[in-house]
Amino acid sequence: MDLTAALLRVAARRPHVLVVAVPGSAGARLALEAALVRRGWPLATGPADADVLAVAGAPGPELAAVVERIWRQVPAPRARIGIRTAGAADDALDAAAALLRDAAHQRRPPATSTAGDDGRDHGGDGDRSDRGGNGHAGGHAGGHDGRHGGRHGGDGGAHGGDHGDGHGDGHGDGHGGHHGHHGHGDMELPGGLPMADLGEDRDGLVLDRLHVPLGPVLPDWPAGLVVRVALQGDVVQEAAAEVLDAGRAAPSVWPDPVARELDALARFLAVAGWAAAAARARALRDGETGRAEALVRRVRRSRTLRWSVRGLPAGSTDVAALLEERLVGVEAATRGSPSARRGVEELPGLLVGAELAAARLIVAAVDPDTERAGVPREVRHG
Amino acid sequence: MGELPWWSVLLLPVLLGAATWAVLAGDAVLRARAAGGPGGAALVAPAREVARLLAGQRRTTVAADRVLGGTGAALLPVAALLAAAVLPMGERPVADLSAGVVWFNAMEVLAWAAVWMVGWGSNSALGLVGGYRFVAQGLAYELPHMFAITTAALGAESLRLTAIVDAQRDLWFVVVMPVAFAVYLLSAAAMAFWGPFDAPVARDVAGGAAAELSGVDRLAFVGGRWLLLVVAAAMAVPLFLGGGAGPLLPAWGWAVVKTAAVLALLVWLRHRFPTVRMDRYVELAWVVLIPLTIVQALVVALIVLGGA
Repeated sequence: MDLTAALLRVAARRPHVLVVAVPGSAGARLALEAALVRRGWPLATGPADADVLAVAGAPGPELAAVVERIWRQVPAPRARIGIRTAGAADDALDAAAALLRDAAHQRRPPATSTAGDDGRDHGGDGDRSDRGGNGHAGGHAGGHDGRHGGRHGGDGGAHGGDHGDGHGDGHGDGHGGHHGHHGHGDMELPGGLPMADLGEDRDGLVLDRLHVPLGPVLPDWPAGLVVRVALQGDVVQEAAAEVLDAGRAAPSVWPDPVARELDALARFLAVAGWAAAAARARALRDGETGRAEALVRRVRRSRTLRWSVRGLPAGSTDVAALLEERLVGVEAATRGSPSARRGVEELPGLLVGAELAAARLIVAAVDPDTERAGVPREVRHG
Repeated sequence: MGELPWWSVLLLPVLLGAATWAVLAGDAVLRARAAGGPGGAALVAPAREVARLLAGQRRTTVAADRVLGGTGAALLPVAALLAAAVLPMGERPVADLSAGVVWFNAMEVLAWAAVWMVGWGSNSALGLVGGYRFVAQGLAYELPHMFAITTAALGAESLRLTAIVDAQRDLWFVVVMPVAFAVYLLSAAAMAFWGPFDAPVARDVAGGAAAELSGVDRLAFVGGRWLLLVVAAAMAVPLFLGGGAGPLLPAWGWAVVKTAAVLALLVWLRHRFPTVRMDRYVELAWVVLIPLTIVQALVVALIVLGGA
């Protein structure tokens, strides 16, 4: 009896799916999420937790390169699907389950185990040009590349701890090129990785600083957004936001503006760790947008949520105010007068000084419009 | 009185595993219903999840400390099982230690080390953040928690769990010390980083301490976390709910029923409330809960002195 094959068959009934959202393809993502709920398949938190990598939409070259890296971090058994249109979700998921069940396929060497291949070109942007220099193997492509060493001027390479995260990082390795020194020739470094650099913290102490890219593949994160942060402990010292393949895609078509607002609210609730309310928001989004106001009241009534976000600084305001803005947005949309969305360029100013959990809440509450071309901007602390 | 025979050590993982299965399935059903999907399939979800992780490939990150991370992941279920050794299943525990309460607490604190080791070992920023979040959480919940369980020991004038159960023959401790019981419930969720205290493995940091785990490593970590939750919930029964005492049913039956009730409460807690930010909870814990539990301990001490 082939035990592994038996396990694969059982496991393929409930795989975890890592969804990569592509700007301009909200329709495909919504269809995919709805199909996952119908099947009872959970959303994966990251590549390590994923069995299926599902790309909702047609990614541009920068995002495709990230998808390629994320795919390399997904452990076997695994399957990869691309969903271009809303109608394709169920067939694609069935195909993924069939691949996961196929023991012979899963045993093949990794190079051949991609299906429904979506990441086409990933060489075009000078991606990975510094990989060789850093001397680390492919498994964890995300997270680090030598460019930070350059940006911070001779500080000997930049960040130590985050090579695992890989959920992040995108691309943009081009930055490294024009400063050109990564400064890690003197010391034997673990895994060939540069060490964390030093910087003054908010109390004037000199502490380690990590450069961590957040996005574009993070749970409940706006499509295509990458926020590069310098962290001390888990406090954001510098932030720079950009959108991968900015301006490439036409904005998503939302049949109902309330659905768009509920989608954003669901992301906020999920980031706030309120899975039940987030699931409710998604269910309303997919069907009964008319009952959105009841959910808004429920969120307003939650003392725990208010207690958690009140007085949590976000630039000159607090997260509670940003949440209220989001809730008002839902109400305005139900009355047929959707409010304007904030742009990506507003993010860095709000994020500097926040700790990581607050930063996630801020991004979710602001929910920047990543489908409109925004200008990447960097705000430095101090 | 006394201990269960030695072979009951082997029974312990089986019993705890079954209880864990039940609570996992219940949680999955609730989650599926909240999302508007089918709840029926959720009942077999634990089996599918275990199969998925058993067949899954183990992975590593660049320059990861595999020994540290692997030890941490394995430590979690071991700590939960060791903590369960002093748990009276019905009337008798596997090991009736004279300092059972202290043993339980020591094993539970091992989880701090375990989660931190997993987070650090993966050499990933998000894992590291998750690991440290649990350490911060430990600082927040542990002091009120210790006062709460100390109060139960004080009421029985013994650290032996069977003696604590015996002391509740007339009146359950939940009646005498309601504050300690409520605080214990909160810390039961917090020690298993569960429910509103799940920040160390939250989605906002892509799984936090567990962000880079796959295959059996993840199975050990996640399974250990569920076991810890079950053990923490089951420990509320001898500490506050009179152990196996009750009409009609045998002692073990009552222990199961009461444990299930506590677990149901914890599952409800998680679905009802969003994640509590630890900087807020530490304030509540130190400014409100610690004084409350101290006053509670004082009241119980006076009752004990008055009774003697």
